[in-house]
Amino acid sequence: MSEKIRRISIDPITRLEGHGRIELFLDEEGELADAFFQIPELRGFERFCQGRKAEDMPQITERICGVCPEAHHLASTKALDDCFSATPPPRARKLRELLYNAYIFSDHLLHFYYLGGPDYLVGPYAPPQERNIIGVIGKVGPELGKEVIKHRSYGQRIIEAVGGRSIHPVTGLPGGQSKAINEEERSEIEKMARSCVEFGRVTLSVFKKMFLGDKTYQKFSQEKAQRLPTYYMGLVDEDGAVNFYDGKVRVVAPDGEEFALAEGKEVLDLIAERTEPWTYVKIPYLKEVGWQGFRAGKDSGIYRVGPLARLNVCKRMGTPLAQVEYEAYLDYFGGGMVHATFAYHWARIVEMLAAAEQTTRLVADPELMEGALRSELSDPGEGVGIVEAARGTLIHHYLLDEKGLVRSANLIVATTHNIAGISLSIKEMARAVVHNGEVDQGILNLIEMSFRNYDPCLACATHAFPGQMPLLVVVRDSAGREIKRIER
Amino acid sequence: MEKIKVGIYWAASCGGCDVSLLEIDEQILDVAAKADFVLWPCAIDTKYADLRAYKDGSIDIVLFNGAIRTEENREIAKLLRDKAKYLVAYGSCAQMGGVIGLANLSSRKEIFTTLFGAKTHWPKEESNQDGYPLHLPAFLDRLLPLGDVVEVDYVIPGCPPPREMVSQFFDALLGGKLPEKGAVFAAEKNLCDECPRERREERITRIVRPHEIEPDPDICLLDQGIICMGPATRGGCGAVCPMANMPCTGCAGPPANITDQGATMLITIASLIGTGLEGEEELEAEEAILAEIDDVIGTFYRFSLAASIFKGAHRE
Amino acid sequence: MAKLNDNGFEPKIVAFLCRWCSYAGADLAGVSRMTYPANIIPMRVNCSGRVDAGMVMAAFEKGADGVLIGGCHPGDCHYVNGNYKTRRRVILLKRALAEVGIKPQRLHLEWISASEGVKFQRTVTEFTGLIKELGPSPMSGDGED
Repeated sequence: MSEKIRRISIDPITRLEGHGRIELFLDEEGELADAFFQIPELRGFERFCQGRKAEDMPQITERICGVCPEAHHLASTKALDDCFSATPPPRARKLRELLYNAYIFSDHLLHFYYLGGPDYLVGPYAPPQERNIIGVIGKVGPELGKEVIKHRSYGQRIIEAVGGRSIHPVTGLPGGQSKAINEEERSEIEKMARSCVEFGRVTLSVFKKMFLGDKTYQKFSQEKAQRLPTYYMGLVDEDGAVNFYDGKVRVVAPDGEEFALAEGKEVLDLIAERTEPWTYVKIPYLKEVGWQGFRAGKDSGIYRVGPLARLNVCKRMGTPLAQVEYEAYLDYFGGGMVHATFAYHWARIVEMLAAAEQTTRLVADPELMEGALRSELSDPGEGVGIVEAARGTLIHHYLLDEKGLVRSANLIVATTHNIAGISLSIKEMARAVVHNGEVDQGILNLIEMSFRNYDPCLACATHAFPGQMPLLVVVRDSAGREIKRIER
Repeated sequence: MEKIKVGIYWAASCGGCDVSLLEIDEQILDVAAKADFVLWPCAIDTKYADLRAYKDGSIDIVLFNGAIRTEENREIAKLLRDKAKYLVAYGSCAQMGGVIGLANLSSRKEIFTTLFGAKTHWPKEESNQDGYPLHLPAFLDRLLPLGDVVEVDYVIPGCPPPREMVSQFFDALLGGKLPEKGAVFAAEKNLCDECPRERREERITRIVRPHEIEPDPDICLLDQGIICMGPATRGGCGAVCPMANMPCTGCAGPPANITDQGATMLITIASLIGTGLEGEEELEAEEAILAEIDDVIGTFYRFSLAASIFKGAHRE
Repeated sequence: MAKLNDNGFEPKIVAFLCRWCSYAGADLAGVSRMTYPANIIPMRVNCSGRVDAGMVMAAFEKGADGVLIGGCHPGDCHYVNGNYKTRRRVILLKRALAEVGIKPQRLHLEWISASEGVKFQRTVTEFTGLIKELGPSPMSGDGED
């Protein structure tokens, strides 16, 4: 590296889940030469899941992430349903959905107020010591602050009632659930869920006041460079509505045209992955479109997942209040596809409201309170389970042997799909805000704000296993020149 | 009154321990009133450069969660030991390696081959991209608990530590009443002591896996043939897993005075297995019951492999 | 007297012997001037059932290439059923050893009574021979990990 190149590290990146580092390289004029988003963590779940008992997988894989364990728990449980050719009875299914919607509500709330939100709720240029949940409570006041804490706790209590524990639930089994809820619990959940719907509406008005009212947010949500015309992926039900728990995976092109509608193993066939030597995470892309480098467009296989994506692939929200908010959101961005990365925050709380509404629906369903909890299992085999984690499409794929032990596990985890998008967003933001070599903590925070849109979960991201998928290897010499390209 | 300086750090972690600190709900406001969070990458914008600039011993207490999996984890563990007055191993991974310790059953080469394929695709500690030098911390050959790298003052066990224990810990911290060094914030006795299920203490005449039966909600799971780690696991969590009709998997680690959790559970099961009769004629039947146990290490050492006597695999 | 092997490897074998039967059998072998390899490190325990899993693991961890447990014949245990527990324990221990990559044959359980000096001699000789063939344990520091 030339002596005139200056390197700036943001290490570690903060207010997200997981370990990450951003390396910025400035040229002689002090403009951005390049930016790298590195993930320095790895734990190897796909390897040590081999040889484990199948029914242990929901509890083992949920330790991929303690912020979204419910997502792994349910993707895993659904994969086991498939492995044992079992359809859970309606009561078990609805219990799972109840837990799951409460989780989505709780996780989105966490991100808005604790992780990504402080940048706007306190302000992007606020001193670092204030840009956090404590600062948020200081700014919005103790009354709202207590409501934040209370409603996150409501989400957690619902998870605990159905799942046995509020972090790392235990009740998922192939073909059903290990326990039900009683009437007292149901009644408590109903009260909490209604309050969560109300709080969803409150959060949307906080958003409109403090995000849409913030000049930085307005700027970056409108700026062309912050609009990435990528493909999008998400689950939709048979009405084309957002469904976090179940449905078909729909992929749309940047112009909104349907690219794919798939379920089960077919979804895995859509995706290829590449490795880079400077990060422990793998980078997925749409196999058919191909990898064209870190750029967005119809000819580039980069796609995104999560709230922004789901609101692009769906035709509607599944619940009435969220539907109204969804229409207002589309309207603000001019109708049609929303490519503005900063729209993630808004899409996220529309979903938070939708999840709360869905929780009120499920808790009132009489099928929740009577009937079998478990169904018959057939011999163990191969299976796929797909859910929408808060951060995006989550796929668990297992191959079991005849004793029901895991022969291999293949996981494609929400944030992994977004790695290319995140890298692109970081680079675009760095290019926009770094000039003349001037870099202060506010400017560096703006760069971090570009990834916080995605609500990344990096402990999750470093778990993707290509299986038999093709890989692209680019071999470079010590000067960085490409000398060979191998595709398998 | 000067605020207590609190640091929270995650090494090879899932983030669940960080979220568990929020499970105390409004009590976090009391904590925030009396303490300054000087490090908490999940929630606060302190960077490594800021941490390195802190004076040694200037952080009153550091809650360290996650296991030592990379060189960076090890380096920061040592740095935090210097910067902290008290260092707490918070959660199962810091205490004994956790579930991710099961990676010690494989070599680094096996792990990387499964994850990345051929060696040419592996991430590298030093690489050069378009002329820019980039560094990744090394993936250690073995995952280690925190205590294998630095001296630990307190342990708060659990995956993650339960709300009650976190609350009790903060009460002690803010009240200036931390116990003697070496204390573990959990019950002294094993989980069976607080589990409300009825113990019949019968011999285990069959082994079944949780999805093979619908267990009686009131009777001890071991009595019904489901392997429950309760006898070899510290209590203090309210036995929430058995209450959800699922067996304890051992996340809080062994009770006091037991060093190898899996070894203890192994001999417990061996003692309990039986047909009801004893004698040479029963040996074949006993063998048949034992043969129904699958994945011995994954069952008995789910959370504790990295802290066990063997620590992991030693392939011939 | 130990015979030197071709490759010069002399295994270290820890032998847990119950005082009522196997240890007495070992004494009988000694008093009768029977020769057997000097590779074993005998440890007397009150009952083979005293040998818990941790002891066996610790023996391997500290460098034993093989572990031998000697107990009373079924029906003869001084404490009635200690040896039955030992037997079940060893079955599970062998599974654990195999799962961590250590050959389960490195752990061996034999019923040797107080009058079976010859059996003691034969057991130790055969087991030492087996371990020599298997080579050093991967935990002994001589083998590769």
